Amino acid sequence: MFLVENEIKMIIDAGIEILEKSGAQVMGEEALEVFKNNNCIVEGKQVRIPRNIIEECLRSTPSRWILYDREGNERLFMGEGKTYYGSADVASRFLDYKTGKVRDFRLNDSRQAVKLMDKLQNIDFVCPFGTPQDISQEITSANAFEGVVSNTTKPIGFMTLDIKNFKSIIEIACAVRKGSDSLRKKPFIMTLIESVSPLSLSEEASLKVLIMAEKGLPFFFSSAPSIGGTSPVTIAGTLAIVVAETLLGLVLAQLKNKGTPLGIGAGIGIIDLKTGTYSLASPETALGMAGFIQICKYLKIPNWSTSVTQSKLPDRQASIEGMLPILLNNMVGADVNWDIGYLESALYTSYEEVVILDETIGMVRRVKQGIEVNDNTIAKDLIIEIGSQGSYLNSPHTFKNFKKQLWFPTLVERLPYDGWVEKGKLSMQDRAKNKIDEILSTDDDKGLSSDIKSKISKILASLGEKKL
Amino acid sequence: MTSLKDLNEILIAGDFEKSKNTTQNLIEQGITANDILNKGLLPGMEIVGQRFRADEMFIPEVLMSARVMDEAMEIIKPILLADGYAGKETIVLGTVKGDIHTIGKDIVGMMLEGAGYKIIDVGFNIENDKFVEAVKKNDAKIVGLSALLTTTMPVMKEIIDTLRADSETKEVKVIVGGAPVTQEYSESIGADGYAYDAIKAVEIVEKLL
Repeated sequence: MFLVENEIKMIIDAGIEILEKSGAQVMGEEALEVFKNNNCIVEGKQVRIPRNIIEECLRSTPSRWILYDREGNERLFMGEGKTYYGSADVASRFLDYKTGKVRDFRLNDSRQAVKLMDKLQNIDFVCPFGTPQDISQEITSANAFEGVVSNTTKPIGFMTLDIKNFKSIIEIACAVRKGSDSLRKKPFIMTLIESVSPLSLSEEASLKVLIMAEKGLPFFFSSAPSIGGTSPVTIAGTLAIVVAETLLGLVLAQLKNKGTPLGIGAGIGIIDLKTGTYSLASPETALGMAGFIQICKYLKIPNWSTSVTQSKLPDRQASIEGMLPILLNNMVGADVNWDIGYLESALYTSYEEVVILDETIGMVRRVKQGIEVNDNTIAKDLIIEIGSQGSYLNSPHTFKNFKKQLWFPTLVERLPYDGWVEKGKLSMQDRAKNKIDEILSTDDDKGLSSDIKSKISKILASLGEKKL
Repeated sequence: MTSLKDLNEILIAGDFEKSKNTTQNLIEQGITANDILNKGLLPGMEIVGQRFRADEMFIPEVLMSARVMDEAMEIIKPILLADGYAGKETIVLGTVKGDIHTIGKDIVGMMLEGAGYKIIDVGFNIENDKFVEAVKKNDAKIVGLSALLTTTMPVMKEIIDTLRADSETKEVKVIVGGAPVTQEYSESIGADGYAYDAIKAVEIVEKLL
């Protein structure tokens, strides 16, 4: 759609050449050892990877894998381009929909978010929606995770600030699955690990890759360059850097444990050249991400994408900036689209934003469904039968087909003006708030069994004291 | 014959390749280093600044103009210093320990350099005492700290406290920035200034000095 095959090949080749001839900076000692012991060229912290090793690792990466739900049912089929949506995760701040103010993200905000996302039709996997600031930072990520796993059976995406919590979360997931082997066979959690552009991998990121690889657990590795800042101002140049960085992560995982299920992606940002500020939203970032998805499909590696606005409010800017990548990613067949619900380029999260985008995704999914063409849908005989000035509303054909053919809005308002006035002249944002209230007022026990709950409590207790 | 007006135009156009030759030419004609600075370079930067604020020029263009200035300064600075020219103050910039993100700090550094300040960039993932060392060694008047991760923000307070506790560095002004940093946070840790973008950073530095 945006890149043709020889362009994809050119970009991939450039990325591989960069990794081979110049390499990347890797901060973790353990990771450096893995590269060193596997015929990569390591000089200090600089790692260069020979092309044949890159190609071998691409071959050993599964082109498909499945993410299950908490109960062990197959839910997300990665590698098939079905575009699953997941929420935002690690912001430390939150736009409180009741007060309209941005404040610290709290544990209860996470709990409520999980409740919300559990019910939203177009959110396929759930993330904690933020990093709670009202508990000790040494234990916050794992405690937030506990809130997710206890309140939804949907698959879970997680990120952490540190390795200790990372390991505890995996322990909790093992407890839920009743064993690390079972978790590996039917994973219901996945994480996102990022490089730092240009061409750097932090110690923490490298450790996370190694941990997931060792356990054979799935993760997405994404590169987050900023166009004009940490990557060339040209999209193709930015994609070359993305290829180099994501292959770095992929190779590390495959060298550690051949066959590790993973995906790669690009969370492209841009430097606004008027002010020097960073934004995750622009036509170029949306275009770049869609291009990278095409590159991943060519490589037959599951892929990751995102959609985040730079708007400070869940307003019109948020909608248009949010819609663009959601639409493009879906049209080119992304596997996952993470980060639904962020505002201001991932600095804080908003319930209204995730609810409004949930509606948007519904629309886009209908578009992706396409136009069904066959004798039944063309309905030529019916058209001839009804003839001129007839109506289809009460026809059996409409009755039989409407549910499969049409998308039904839950937030978009279709009433005429006076009807809208009668209903209170509500804006999209108002309607989103009402929907949030409605969902949060319900009670739905997705509870875990008491023995799993107590195992989880023990894991959290050994991590540390909760109070600040 | 090359004139000051030519240098002016080269600067506004960002034609850095021509800068050294043009400047050398002017020197050979007997034009003073002082005039080159005050009649050739600074007025040009003034216009660049105006156009930038009017959204007619963008950061890459400003940086190219700044490069013209840098190249010209390489020739005239020794002459100016001999005449007692002090130049603008020195600023130490760095990304704090635990953090490897540099682009924000780099942009701020480039804009401050463009405004004529001397920048000592200590890099990323930097130990607290290296900041203090750099301030002392370079007689810096301002320290700029950058952090992108919420886990590394607390380190900023440590550095501020260390600087204040040392008699040699307690007068140094500290400005902070980075995506998760806010005005509120910067005040709570005792920073002297917070800039939400590089343009603001230059403004704040000029106010503080």
